[in-house]
Amino acid sequence: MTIVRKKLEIFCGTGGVGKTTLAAARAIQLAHGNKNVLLITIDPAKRLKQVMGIDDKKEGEIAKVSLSNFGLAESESVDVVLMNPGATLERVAHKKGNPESLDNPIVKILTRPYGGMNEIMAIIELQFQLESDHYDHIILDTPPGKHFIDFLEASSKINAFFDSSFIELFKLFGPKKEKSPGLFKRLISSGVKKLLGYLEKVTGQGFVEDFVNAIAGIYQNKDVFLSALAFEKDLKKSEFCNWFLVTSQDQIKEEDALELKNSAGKLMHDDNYLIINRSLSQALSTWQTKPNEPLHKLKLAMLDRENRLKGMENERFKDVIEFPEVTPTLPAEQVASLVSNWDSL
Amino acid sequence: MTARLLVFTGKGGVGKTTLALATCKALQNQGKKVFYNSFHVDHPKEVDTLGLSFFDLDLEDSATEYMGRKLHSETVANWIMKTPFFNALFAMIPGLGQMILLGHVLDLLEKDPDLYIVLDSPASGHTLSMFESTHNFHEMFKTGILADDIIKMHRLLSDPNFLEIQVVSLPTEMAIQESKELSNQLIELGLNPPMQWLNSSMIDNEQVSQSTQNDLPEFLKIKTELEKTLREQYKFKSIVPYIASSQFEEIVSMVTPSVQGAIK
Repeated sequence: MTIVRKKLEIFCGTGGVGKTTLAAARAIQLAHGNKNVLLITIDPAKRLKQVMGIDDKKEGEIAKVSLSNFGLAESESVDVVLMNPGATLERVAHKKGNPESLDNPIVKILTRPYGGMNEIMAIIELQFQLESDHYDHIILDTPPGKHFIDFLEASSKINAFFDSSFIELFKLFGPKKEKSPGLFKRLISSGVKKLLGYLEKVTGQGFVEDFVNAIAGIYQNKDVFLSALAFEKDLKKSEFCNWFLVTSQDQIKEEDALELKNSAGKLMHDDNYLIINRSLSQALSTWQTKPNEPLHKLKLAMLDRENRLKGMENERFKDVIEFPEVTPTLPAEQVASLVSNWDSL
Repeated sequence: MTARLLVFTGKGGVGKTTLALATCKALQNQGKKVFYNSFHVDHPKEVDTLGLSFFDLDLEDSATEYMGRKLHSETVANWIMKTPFFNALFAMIPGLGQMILLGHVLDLLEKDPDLYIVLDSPASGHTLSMFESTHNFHEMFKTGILADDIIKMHRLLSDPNFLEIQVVSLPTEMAIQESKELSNQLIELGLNPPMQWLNSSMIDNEQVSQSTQNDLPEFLKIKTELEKTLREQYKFKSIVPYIASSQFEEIVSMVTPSVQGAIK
């Protein structure tokens, strides 16, 4: 099987199917051959930390991981970033030359690792890396299930946020040159007064002021946020990216994977691969049982699970890739063994 | 489990939904009034086929109702929530919506002292987001009606008779590590130590326990050996067996007795 190498490769799937480990192995395979490869995870669970052996402090920074950890040449490496929304925001604001514009308590709280802005900030980070054009390949490990769809829909949410009615609102106070009181007064004297008045009733005044400043800061960096729209268009082009829907033998509800494929298919091209991970095909085919033994029932149930996943082949995938279950327990060894599986395709 | 709000979480694919539905079933078998709700999937059809009750919480309705109560006017609340500004804001800040939904759940439980709610929450990282949101918004609002409500929310959530979080894990090093990390982070957020579940135990599987170690094929020998080591290292009080079935409803029914034992 030949998988054409593209600028971006996306790994998605429901939880616990092995997206992170497979994505890491793929990034290592591509990096081995002296290519510049970036592996990026936007799942707040951050399994990549264990898999790649990166410490907590490096969150949000680009870490260079030597391929020697996986039994390959010492001289080769892969860049890895555990997405941190705060670090992303700092990176983009810095590039624009106005880091102080986003120096706001509300923005800071919301862009904490578990502040809930991960999916939105991920698209901005990704677009930032794509535009910098430093990498030959970017491998993306995504959050499970519905949160992957949230990620795909992030650009339209950003767009709605900068909706035209909204733009009118902010023309009122333009770029934030002076300190907040003036800005705040101008906003209050405008038509939004009533709305903010109600908001203030429940939230207290300090919040409304911080809030208005946060919005103004975000508005000043509007073009950075709206760059996400370019990414939305690219996702529809099959020459831009490969995407892999990962499923696993131990997944009981294969219809969840199909549902994910269908929702994602509305936002992306459908030139995609189905991966059956931890496949037991081999092990089950050599396991002999007699119908009267208790283990016979167990074997049949496992075979049934395996066949249900294979039945998904008919659901219009470009190709199906099987990865047998790997036995090593150490994460780095698991990855190394999956790298050779990728190589053997 | 004695609390009236039971939240199931853990790494993706560990069987949160299976155990959450089995818990509903077990509570219902005891004659309790129980609702199942999920913050991350739409109404799963199994809730109906298993004869359980689901309650739909729509974010916009919840938020409107809440604002209406706080502002003493439904009309004003309706108007605010319909503005493009608020719509866009809710879409951009998912934590705000989750917090309002959580508040709604707490309200329902306070109003009806006989009610139990089983919440099937998203995988680790996103569950932390949900519980951290209350702290984040408290920090943002500082004072005012919302801040007072959040303080009340924290008081309820830290009451062990009210909320008990159930962290589900599988017999693999990675899943157990993640569940330990998650438990510690939840404790740091001021919540009580969660209950730990080990799901899909191959050792406790009906067919495996009826056979000798020699009967097992190589891959199952490796699996059971690994599980044995992990169970010695991490002590689990609640263990749910691997069920030889690929039918989801059947699996839920088969694990219900194991869950029944954990309910007082």
